[in-house]
Amino acid sequence: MTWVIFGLWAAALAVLVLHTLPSWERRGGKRGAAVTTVLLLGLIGVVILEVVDPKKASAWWARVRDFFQRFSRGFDNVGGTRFVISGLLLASIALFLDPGKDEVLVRTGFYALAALGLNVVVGLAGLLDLGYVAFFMIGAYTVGMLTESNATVHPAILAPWIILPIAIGVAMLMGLLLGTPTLRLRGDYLAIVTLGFHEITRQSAKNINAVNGSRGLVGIPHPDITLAGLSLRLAGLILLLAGLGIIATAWINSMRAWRKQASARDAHGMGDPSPVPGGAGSAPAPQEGSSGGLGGIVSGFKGQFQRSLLAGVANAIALFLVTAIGLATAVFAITQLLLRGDALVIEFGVLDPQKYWFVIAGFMVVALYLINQLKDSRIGRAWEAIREDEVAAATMGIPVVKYKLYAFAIGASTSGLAGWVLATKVGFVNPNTFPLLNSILVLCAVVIGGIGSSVGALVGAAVVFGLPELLRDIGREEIGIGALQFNVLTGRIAIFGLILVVMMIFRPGGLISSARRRAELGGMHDMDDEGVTDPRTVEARDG
Amino acid sequence: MIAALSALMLVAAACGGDDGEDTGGGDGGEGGETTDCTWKIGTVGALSGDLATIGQPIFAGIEYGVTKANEEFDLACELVLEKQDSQGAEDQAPPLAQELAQDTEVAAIVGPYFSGETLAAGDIFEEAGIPFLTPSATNPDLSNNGWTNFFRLVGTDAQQAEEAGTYITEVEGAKSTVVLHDNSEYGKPLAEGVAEATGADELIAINPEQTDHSAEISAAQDAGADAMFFGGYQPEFSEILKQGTDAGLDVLYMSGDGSKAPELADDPSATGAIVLCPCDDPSVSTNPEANKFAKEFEADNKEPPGTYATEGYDGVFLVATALEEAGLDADASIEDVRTAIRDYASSTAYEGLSKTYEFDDKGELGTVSIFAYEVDPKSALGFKQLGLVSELAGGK
Amino acid sequence: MATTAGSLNTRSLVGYGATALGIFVAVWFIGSSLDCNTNLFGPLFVTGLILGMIYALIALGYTMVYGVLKLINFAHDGIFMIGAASLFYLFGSWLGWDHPFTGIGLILVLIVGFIASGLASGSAAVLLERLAYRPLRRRGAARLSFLIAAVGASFFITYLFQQKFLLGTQEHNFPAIMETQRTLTFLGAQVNNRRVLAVLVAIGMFLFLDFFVRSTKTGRSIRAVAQDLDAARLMGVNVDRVVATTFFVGGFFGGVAGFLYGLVFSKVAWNLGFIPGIKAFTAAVLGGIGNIRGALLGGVALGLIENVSTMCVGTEWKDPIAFSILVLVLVFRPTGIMGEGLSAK
Repeated sequence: MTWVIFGLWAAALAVLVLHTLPSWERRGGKRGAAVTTVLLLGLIGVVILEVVDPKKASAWWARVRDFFQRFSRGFDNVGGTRFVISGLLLASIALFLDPGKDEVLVRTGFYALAALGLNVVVGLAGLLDLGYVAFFMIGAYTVGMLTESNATVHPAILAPWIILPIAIGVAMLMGLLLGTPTLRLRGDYLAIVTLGFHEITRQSAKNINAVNGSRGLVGIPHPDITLAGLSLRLAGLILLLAGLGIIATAWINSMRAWRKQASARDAHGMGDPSPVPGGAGSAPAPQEGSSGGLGGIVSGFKGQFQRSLLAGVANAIALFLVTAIGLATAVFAITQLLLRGDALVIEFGVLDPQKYWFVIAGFMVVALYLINQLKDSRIGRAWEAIREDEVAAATMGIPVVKYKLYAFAIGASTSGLAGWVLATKVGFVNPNTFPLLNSILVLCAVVIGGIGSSVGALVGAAVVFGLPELLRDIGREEIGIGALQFNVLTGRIAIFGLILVVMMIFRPGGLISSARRRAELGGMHDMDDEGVTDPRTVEARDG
Repeated sequence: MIAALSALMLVAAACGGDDGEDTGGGDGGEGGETTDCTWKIGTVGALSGDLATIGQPIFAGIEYGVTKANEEFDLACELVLEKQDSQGAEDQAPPLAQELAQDTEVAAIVGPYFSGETLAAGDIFEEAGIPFLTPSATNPDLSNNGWTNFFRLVGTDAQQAEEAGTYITEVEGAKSTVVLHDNSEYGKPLAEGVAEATGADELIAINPEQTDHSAEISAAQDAGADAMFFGGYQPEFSEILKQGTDAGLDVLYMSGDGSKAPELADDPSATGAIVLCPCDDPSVSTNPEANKFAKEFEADNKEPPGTYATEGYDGVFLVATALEEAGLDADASIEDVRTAIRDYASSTAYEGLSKTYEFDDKGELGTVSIFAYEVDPKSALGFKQLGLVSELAGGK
Repeated sequence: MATTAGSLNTRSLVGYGATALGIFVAVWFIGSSLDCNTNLFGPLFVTGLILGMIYALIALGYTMVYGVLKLINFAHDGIFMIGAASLFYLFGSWLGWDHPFTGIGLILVLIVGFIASGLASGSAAVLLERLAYRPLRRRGAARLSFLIAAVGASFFITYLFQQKFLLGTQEHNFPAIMETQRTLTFLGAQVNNRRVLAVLVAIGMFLFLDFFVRSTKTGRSIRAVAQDLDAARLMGVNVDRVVATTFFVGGFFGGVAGFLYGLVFSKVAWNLGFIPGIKAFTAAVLGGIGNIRGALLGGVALGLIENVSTMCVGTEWKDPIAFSILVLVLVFRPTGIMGEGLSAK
């Protein structure tokens, strides 16, 4: 959860820099003051956590670092609810933006969602898919075909929300259809087959009149929600339960963590009097102690007074936040839905992309949660085995093709989901909406963010799809000297291509990488200072 | 963890956020008096990419129009051009249209330029209630989407196709025609129309992403026709001309307005090819005002006005006239501004440089004049106007 | 070429001839039984043959690198484009040779073009290997890393040339160094001199490469490395040099292919290599990647299939058909028609 904190800080940093950079004098005052504070704190935090090596740092610095880590660890103790918090954080981004500019965010969101799925295929299962956006297209076309506006070709007329599972299902089915014969192939062949698949899909859509050929599908309705009568009550009830659930999980998890800590302290008795807390971070390993008891708390109190105080404070803050969120949800459910007499209509118009962002953020969190669960399940471990050595995995009795198919289907369905959002948002799809280039760009996003890391995929998507828009908007499209003007907008792909190469050479794990993955991609020599226990991998497990 | 991404997305989006107010003044209309409010005229089209050869002249006309309008009209607010570069691609147009739609200073759009992107972006402008006047999108189906904010400043491909048929059969006296198209939202319907008008029984599709069109040329050769029509854009028409003449396909080569870009004349194979366009060349127009415009434009831009530059210019002036007639002041809400433009366009016959603009309730002009041009490297911009197709046919 | 021992013997020639005849007859038969315009067969066959030769030349680059490194060099499409672009600069901008030549002059210009495009692309390929792949090789990086780096390099080269200071987004005319003359009519197709030249050069280069890989010392070391990189190193082969040579030869062929492609279609553009690149790759896989003869066979087969098939289905289905064939070949015969391997069949 360290990354939630990182993200918050980085977000604040971004807001400040970007809001003030183009028009320093005009905007600086508006949100500047508040944001600057957060920014500075964030900057310090990030620098400390990332740069300061606890082994080399002075005791004082290490202590500060420890504080930040403990604080972020507090979020871990509130358990699965961290996904809820992440979702709210994600969703809240849209609130900070000027009207009209949240569009960029939503647009980045489509591909970020898709990148999450591709990360399962490329990152977790190690299959290079160069035609991933074909499934995106299939999802989007499913929506287009099933809405009334395209009545001449549709098999049925359905509401966008009802089509959602269908779009996901169809994309998944296509993934299975493509995957079944081709996943037996070696990785490099798979790459080229998927590339071909993208072109086959796109060109065929252009040529088949049943899907309107190159004209495409027009006037796809927005996913408006109308809740009335029973469904309104039902939604209220669900939301109420969700709110209460959030509070309950947070407290239960926190209590459990507390007890664990106490027992750990008990087991390790005096604790270590060393002023530098922990080696690689706050060393969670010793906390896996055996027996518990009140004596532990007392004995640990002396040596670890400062540390437990910090942890306690961090936990308390996190717990407070989560409880507040849960309560707010519950209150909203009661007042807005359960007690409301008339219907609740949520309209998704062209002029408020924010709502789409909320939907996307919701999907992202669900995807993140499911992928995270999968990663540490038997399937995830099978993927890892296949990725590292397919022959060995097969020898050990892992049904290789079956697990590869799982990854492929999950990737395809996520892509289809993203396609659903795009189709209902833009209201128009045609074959040219899905150029082959987009498949490559999504891959770039996954690689740049860090192969195998879900968060990395999201960051990568922001870099690949969001950043160029940023440059376009500050009007710094061209950089260079004299005749050598490099157009950032059209040249971004060149830059990403270069980044891909450089990254594979120097930092194969991407911006945000797991040590395990980095070791694997880079060969064994790169396993130097990262050590074996990356706190993040530990984190992922006790979520 | 997730939030790290938020950061970057925010980065992107936030910075996007600013330019609305920041760059407003820089893009266009520097002339005119000092006003502290602005009405933006948005434009979306291919300003870069391989279709920029077609998009740039239109943009030049619009840009020139905004500058001139600020000089000639006495408006409460300054007109400012807000450009968005879609590269002519359907996948890029919607987000750009969205940005314009959410800008509360945008009074009207003169664009998008191509049929595909107009189809992709139209719903967004319509929903936002912004009048959009396309200077060059000619797909006939565009006006069947129920858009009330849509106005087409040119004739449709339906008319163009009909006149192409007239030209091929009556003016050139060709006995049979073979029709090719680029499988795009613009090229395909145009080609279908021409096939119908000339009685060609087969359409041959090319892939615009490919360089090699040998198979298509072979098929065209086999048809044994004496005329060939291509529905599509200039880069592909150039390729077809080169490869067709290379393969010994000696026919009358013809194309529509999408191929009327000066770059077509770069290769000698194109010389003599015919291009139809529902656009007049202002320098030889019968309208003296248009002649004057052509001269002034050339003096200011060091280049004569290209294809559809006049229509772009007219579009801007139509908007400016509407604003002046409505007598809106600086406090007028943007909805009023947009309504004024919409009402003016749909109710009044506006006397423009290239024609009189009188729209029906679908935003169409009705019958317009279609001109024939011959590719001629020696002429300015590579085309020599042959005259009105109807007159050419009548003279025979 | 594929086989280690003397290969162009009568038996294999008869075999190839029979295969080609079989394909010819089969296609003609299927064509006439479907609702096909068999009139078109001749011209399409010729077109397919010519294009297939060019595909084969590009495919060589993929195949040689794959044979040695087991790496799909996605960046080869960029290398191909550099071949055409280099001449656009050399002939068009620097030397001003933008007008037709005849006689000896034409031959000299063609030779200069041949060497210049080959050198430009060859050195670009070597540079690519040196900067991008060698560090990965040194580290023993995972295959996925190689593939991603290759995709990255491909997009870097292509989109770099899209910048204004290089080719820009617009299309250019290839320097018109040759007057178009329709030299012969073959199977009902008029073939012009540029296409004849392209086929002749392609055949010549294949013969040369066959000789080079089979009979020269460098060729032997390439085969040795292809067979077993570590063993070759142990036996004293300078693996880095051999790999660089392979890249150079593959790049040289790609560059010449770019030259011929630009000449035949008189076009130079930043994205010139994209579709031919994918097609050539398909051809390489079709014939059996890593196999030089396979590249030739695959290229010609693909060129024929995608062109001849258009006499039965619309031309808009050309690309889907080509890619479907790729998928089918990979699914049913992943090693291609002739099997993999530079070293041995």
